[in-house]
Amino acid sequence: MTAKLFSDAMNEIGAKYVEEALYYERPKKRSFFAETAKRAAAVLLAASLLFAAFTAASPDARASLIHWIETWTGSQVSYQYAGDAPADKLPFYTLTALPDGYALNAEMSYEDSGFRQLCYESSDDLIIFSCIYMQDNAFSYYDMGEDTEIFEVTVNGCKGKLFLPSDPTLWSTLEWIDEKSNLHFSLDACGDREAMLRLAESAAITERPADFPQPEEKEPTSMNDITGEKVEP
Amino acid sequence: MEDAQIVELFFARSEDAISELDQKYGKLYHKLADNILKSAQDAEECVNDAYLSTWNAIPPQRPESLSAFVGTLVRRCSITRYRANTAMKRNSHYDVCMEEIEEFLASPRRTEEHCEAKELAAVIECFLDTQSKENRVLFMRRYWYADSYADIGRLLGITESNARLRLMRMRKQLKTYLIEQEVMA
Repeated sequence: MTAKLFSDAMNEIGAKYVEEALYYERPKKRSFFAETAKRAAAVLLAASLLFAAFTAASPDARASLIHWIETWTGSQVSYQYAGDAPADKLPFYTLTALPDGYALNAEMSYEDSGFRQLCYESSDDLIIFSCIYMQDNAFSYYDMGEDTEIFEVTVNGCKGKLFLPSDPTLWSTLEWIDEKSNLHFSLDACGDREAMLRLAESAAITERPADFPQPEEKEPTSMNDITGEKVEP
Repeated sequence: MEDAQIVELFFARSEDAISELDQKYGKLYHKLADNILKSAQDAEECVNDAYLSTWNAIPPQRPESLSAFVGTLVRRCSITRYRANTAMKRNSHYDVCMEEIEEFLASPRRTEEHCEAKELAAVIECFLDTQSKENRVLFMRRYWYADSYADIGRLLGITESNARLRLMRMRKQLKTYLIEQEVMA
């Protein structure tokens, strides 16, 4: 099969498929997620204003007390962090209880001084495990999709949230914050609540694989690196 | 204006046919051409060429679906221009779309050379009929409209990552289906 043949074949596809994709409208439903997000947005707006006043008054105190702001708009959630840069290299957290058939793919993984994303690959699926050091100018952003339920969870004693889409074939996201190590973890994988928690709780510091590339000398991800709608507190 | 009324304007040889067509679908066609060519100027020219082809084709043709009929002309024109324009190599969504499908469906044996595009299209249509509506839309949005995963995710209300994941699974299913149908070795 060549791309040319496939492309030519797509030109011959019947109009009904072209029209179906053109006029597609997602079924409208007000999800638990949307309601929760709306309420959370209002609460976080107030929290953001409080944060701004607080940091202006006491910049030294902010790093020891507030390390992140979580902001929701619709199905999008963003985290803006505060604090000093890490003194040492990021500890090498990996998932130690992978499902059968998964292996770390170093080429698909990424790392810089304050962020590491590990990609585990099987024959037909992926697991993405990330951790970001919460520091000034660092930022993370997720678009969760709309048909998603949110659960408050605890991962190894750390508070977190599980975003579970109604379609079980889609990826769920589990994110949790380890305040002691100042790290924000996230896990994208297919699986139910128990499977996601089991996988997340297997996160542990391990030795860096010899063939894993050294981190790029890059500034941490900032607001300016994010494409899409910027969330203003 | 309804599509049938626009078609009647073509039959009446009224120049309003083009302006009404452009008003209704111009934005879509420009995006389609731009997804493939990544050049606003080239996209504009392809859309205009497609409008001229439509003017020449209707009459005598009377398309059942005006949007798909003209959309196909825009797509063909854009791909022809894209292929002629080697400087565009690896510079568009379309490149990435085709690379991912070629990588997945690549076969060391070349039995599929005997397969004509129309025959393959018929098999792909049968494959799409086995899929959910959302999956069909996902597939068409990626490989017909050359939309980005971010745009597709927004359309379907899923994350960009999940759009990638679903399509990766579909490519695998398509490969199996093509092998079963003896289109691929």
